[in-house]
Amino acid sequence: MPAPTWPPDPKEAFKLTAREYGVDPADLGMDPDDDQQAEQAILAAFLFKNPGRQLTTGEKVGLGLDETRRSMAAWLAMVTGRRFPIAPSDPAATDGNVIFLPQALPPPLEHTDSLLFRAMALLQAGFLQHGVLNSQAVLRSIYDDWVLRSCFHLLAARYVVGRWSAAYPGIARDFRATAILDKAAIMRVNLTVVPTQGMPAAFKPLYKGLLAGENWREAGPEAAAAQRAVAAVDAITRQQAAIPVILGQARRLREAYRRMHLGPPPAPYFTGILRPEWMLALRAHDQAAEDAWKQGPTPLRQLRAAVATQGHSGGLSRKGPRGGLGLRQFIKKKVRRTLQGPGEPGELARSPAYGELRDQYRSRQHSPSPGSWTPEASWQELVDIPPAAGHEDGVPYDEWDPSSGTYRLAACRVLDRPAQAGPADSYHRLVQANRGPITQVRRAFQALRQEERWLHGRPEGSDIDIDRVIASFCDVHSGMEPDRNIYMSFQREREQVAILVMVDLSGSTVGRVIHLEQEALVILAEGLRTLGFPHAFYGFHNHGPRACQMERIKGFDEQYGEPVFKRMGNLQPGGATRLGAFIRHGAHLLSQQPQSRRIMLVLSDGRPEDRDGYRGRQGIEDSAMAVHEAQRLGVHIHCTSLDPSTGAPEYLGRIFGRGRFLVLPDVDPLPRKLPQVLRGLIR
Amino acid sequence: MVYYRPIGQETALFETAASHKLPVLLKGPTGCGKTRFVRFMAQRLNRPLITVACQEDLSAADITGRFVLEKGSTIWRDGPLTRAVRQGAICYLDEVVEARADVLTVLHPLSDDRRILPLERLGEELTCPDDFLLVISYNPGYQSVVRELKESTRQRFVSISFHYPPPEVEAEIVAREAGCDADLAKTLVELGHATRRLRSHGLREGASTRLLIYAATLTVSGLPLKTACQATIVDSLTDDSDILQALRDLIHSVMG
Ligand SMILES: Nc1ncnc2c1ncn2[C@@H]1O[C@H](COP(=O)(O)OP(=O)(O)O)[C@@H](O)[C@H]1O
Ligand SMILES: [Mg+2]
Repeated sequence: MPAPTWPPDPKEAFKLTAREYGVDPADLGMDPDDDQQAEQAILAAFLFKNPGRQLTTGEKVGLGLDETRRSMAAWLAMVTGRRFPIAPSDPAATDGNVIFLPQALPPPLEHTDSLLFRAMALLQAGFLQHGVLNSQAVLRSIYDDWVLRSCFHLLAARYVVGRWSAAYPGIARDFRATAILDKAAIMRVNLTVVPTQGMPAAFKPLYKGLLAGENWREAGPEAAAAQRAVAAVDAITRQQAAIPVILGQARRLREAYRRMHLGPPPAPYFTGILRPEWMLALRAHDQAAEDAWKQGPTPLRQLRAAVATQGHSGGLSRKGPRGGLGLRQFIKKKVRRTLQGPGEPGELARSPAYGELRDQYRSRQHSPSPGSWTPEASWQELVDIPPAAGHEDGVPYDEWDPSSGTYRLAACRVLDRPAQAGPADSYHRLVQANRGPITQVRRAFQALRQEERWLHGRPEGSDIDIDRVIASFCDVHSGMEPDRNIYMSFQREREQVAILVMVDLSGSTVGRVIHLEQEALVILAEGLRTLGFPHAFYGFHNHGPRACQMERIKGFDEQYGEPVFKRMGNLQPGGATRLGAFIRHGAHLLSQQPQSRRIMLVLSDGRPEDRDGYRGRQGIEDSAMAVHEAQRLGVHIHCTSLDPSTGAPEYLGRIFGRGRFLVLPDVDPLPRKLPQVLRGLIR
Repeated sequence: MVYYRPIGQETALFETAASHKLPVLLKGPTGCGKTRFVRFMAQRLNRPLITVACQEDLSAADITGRFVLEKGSTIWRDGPLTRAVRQGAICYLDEVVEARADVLTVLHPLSDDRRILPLERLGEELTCPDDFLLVISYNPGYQSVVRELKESTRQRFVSISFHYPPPEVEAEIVAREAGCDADLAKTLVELGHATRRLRSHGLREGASTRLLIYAATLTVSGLPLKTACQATIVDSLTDDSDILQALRDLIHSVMG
C-alpha cells in the first residue's frame, strides 16, 4: 500500500475513510458528490464504528498517567488556582470540571513525556479558566458542526497557549518545547490519525506557533483565510473579546473550507479534543445557567439595554417599548417580525440559514444505528468505565479521593445479582393492606402519563418560546451566538422516562425503617406498573469495598411476577453504605436504557459510611463526585433521606446538590411520600 | 528600630488591648509576621519583651521557675513567665498549644481579671503589675485535632488574626528584609502565593513569608535562584515525592 497522502478532496477523503473502516460507501446510502453528505458520512463512519485507531488502548506504553497524576494535579492546582480532578481518557478533553488525559502516552517512553502531559492538562484547564467554553451557545454551535468545532478548537488552543505563556515565562518555554515534540504533533481528526504530509495549504497557518517543524508559514491564496483567523486571535487583548473573536473567526474559516470542499482541520495530539456534548450533558450547569437567566438581575438589565438599542434603531422611543405593551409582548411581536418575517410560524426552520442545522438534528434523531452518537456512547467507548457484563467478582469502579484530588482506580467492586427470594405472600399481604394508597398512586400516575404540556426550547414548534427568545436576545446583545431552539410544541403523551429506585439496605435500617421502605416499594411498584415506564428496583449495602452488593429486586427487563414479588417482600438489611459505588453502578444501569430522561431515586437513612476510612469527608466527596458523574451520563438523581440528624441537610446538599433531596425526619409518612416524590420528578 | 509593615488594624487593636490589660491571642499561619509584630509592639509601648518558644516538652515549671542546685544549696530560679510578671514585661508564648497541658493551666489565672501568678513551690502568689501583658500565638491550620486550643483558653483572649499579606505588600516586605530588587521579590511572592493554593490539599502549609525572605537572601548572596528556591521553598515544605515534583515544576513554570 502506498504511503497515505492527504486526500485532495472530500470525495476521495470519504472513500479513503470508508475503506479504512471497512465500509462500502454505497451501503451508507449517501451521495459522496454532495460535500455536506459526504462529510456526514465520514462523520458517521468515524463515530458509529469502533474506533480502531486509538493511539493507546489503556495498556501502558509511554509514560503512564498514574505515575504523574498526583504531582500533576498538585502542580495544576498551584498554577491555575483551581482544583481539577484528573481522570483517564484519550484524547485529552474536559467536561467542564474534570480534566481527562490519556492513560498512557504513545510509545516510546521519553523524558519529555511529563512535559507533554503538563501541556495537555494546562490546555484543557485553560479552555475553562480562560472562558472559551463557558457559553452554552458556543457549546451548542460547535456541537452541531464538526468542521466548525475543529476550527474553533485550534483557534481556542492557540488563544489559551498565548494566555498561559503571557502569565508564566516558564510555561511559555514549555509550550515552545512541546511544539518540537514528535508526539505532540501527531495529527488526529477525532480519533483517527492522519498524515501531516500533503496537508492542504489552507490548514497550515493554523499550526504556526503551536507546532514546530514543517513549513506552517504558507502564503498562497488558499491560506489567506486561516492566516486572517490566526492574526485575529493573536490580537485578542481582553477576555471578553475572546469568545466573539474566536467563534466568529472559526465560522468564517468554516465557510471558507466549505467553499474549498475541505473537511475539518486535524488537531495536534497535545491539544486533545473538544467535547461540547459532555459539557452540555452536565445538567447542573444547564440548570444554573437557566436559573440565572430567569432570576438574575443582570440578564434583565441586559435585556432592557437590548430592547433600548433595538427599539431605537427600529424606530421605537429610547425609553423602551411604546404603547403600554408589556416587555414580553413587545419582544414577541418584535421577534416574530425580525426573525420570522410576517409569514406563518415555522418559517424560520425552513429558511436556508437554518436548514443545515435542522438537517443535522434530523440525521442524529433518525439514525438507525443502535450506537448512535450520544454523549453516553462516546463516554462508554472512551473512558475507562468498566464494562458491565461477565464480571463474576463484580464490576470495578474508581473512587474519588478528596485529599489527593485524584481517582483511586478500581477501588471498589459492585456485585449485581438478584436479591434473595422469600415467601411470596409477604408482598401480597402488603398490597392488601395498602389498597387505598395504591389506588390513589395509580390514579396519580395514570394522569401523569397523559399529562399534556408544552415542550420548551424546541428547534421547531407551533409557538415561540418567549423565555428562550429572551435568552437568545441577551446572547446576541452580549456578542454571543444565540440559541436557536426558540420554539414550543405541544405534547399529549409524555416521553418515556427510565426510572431506577435504589433502597438502602444497610444494617442501620433494621426494624421499622426496612419495614416502611418495603411498604413504600410495594406501593411504588404497583403505581409504576400502571404507568408503564421502564423501571427497576435495587437494594444496596456492602461489606467492605470489594463486596458492594446491588441486590436486584426487579431488573429493567424483568416482568412483574412471582420472582419479583418474592424478592420485594423480603428485604434483608445488613452491612454498610458505600454510596458512591452504588450511584456509579446505578447510573451505569440507567445509561444503558434508551430513554433520554433518566431518573434515579435513592432512598437512604444516613451518611455514606464503610470501613477503611470511607466516611466523613471521604464518603461525602466521593458520593458527590459519583452524582456528578451520573449527571454527566444524563441521569437525574434525587435522594429521599430518613436521617433525623441535624447535619443531614448539609451533607445531602453537598452530595446531591441543593433541591435534589428531601429529608423525612419522621419515617412514618414514607410510603405515602415516596410516590409523590417520584411523581414530582417525572413531571 | 524593628521594622514591621502593618497590614490591617492590628496595631490599634493590640494597643487598646494592652491599655486595658487584656491578654492577646495572635492567630495565623507560621512565618506571617506574628513574632515580628510582637517585637514591634513591645518597642512601641516601650516595654521589655520576653519570648518563649513552646515545644512539646515545655512544662509549667519551665516557664514559672524551679529550685536548682547551686554551690551545695537549693535556690529558686525564676522562669521567663515569672520574670515577665515581676518586671512588668510583655510575655510572648509562641505556638502555645505545642506545650504541655499544665502550661495552659498556669495561664488561666493570669489571663482573667485576677491577673495573678501562683507559685506553689515558693508558696507565693504574684499579682501582675499594669505593664505585664500576656500574648500567645496559635496556628489554626497546622495543629492536629488533639492539639487544638481549648475553648476555655481561647475565650480569655482578644484575638488578632494574621494572614499572609497581599502580594504587593508581601513583595515590599521581602524586598526590604532581604535587600533584593522588586522584580525578584515579585516573582518569589507569586511562587509563594501559588504554593498556598495547595494548603490542606497535599501541603499542610504553603511557603511562608519567612521562606520567601530566605530564598531572596540566598539569591542576593549569589546562589542561583532555582537552587535557592529548591533549598527553601521546595525542600522545606514537604517530604512527599509527588508534591516535591509538583513544586519543582511550579518553580520551572513561574521562573522560566
Ligand atoms: N508585616 C511584616 N512586616 C515586616 N516583616 C514581616 C512582616 N510579615 C512577615 N515579615 C517577615 O517574615 C519573617 C517571619 O515572620 P515571623 O514574625 O517570624 O513569623 P511568625 O511568628 O508568624 O511565625 C519575619 O522575620 C519578617 O522578616
Ligand atoms: Mg514565630
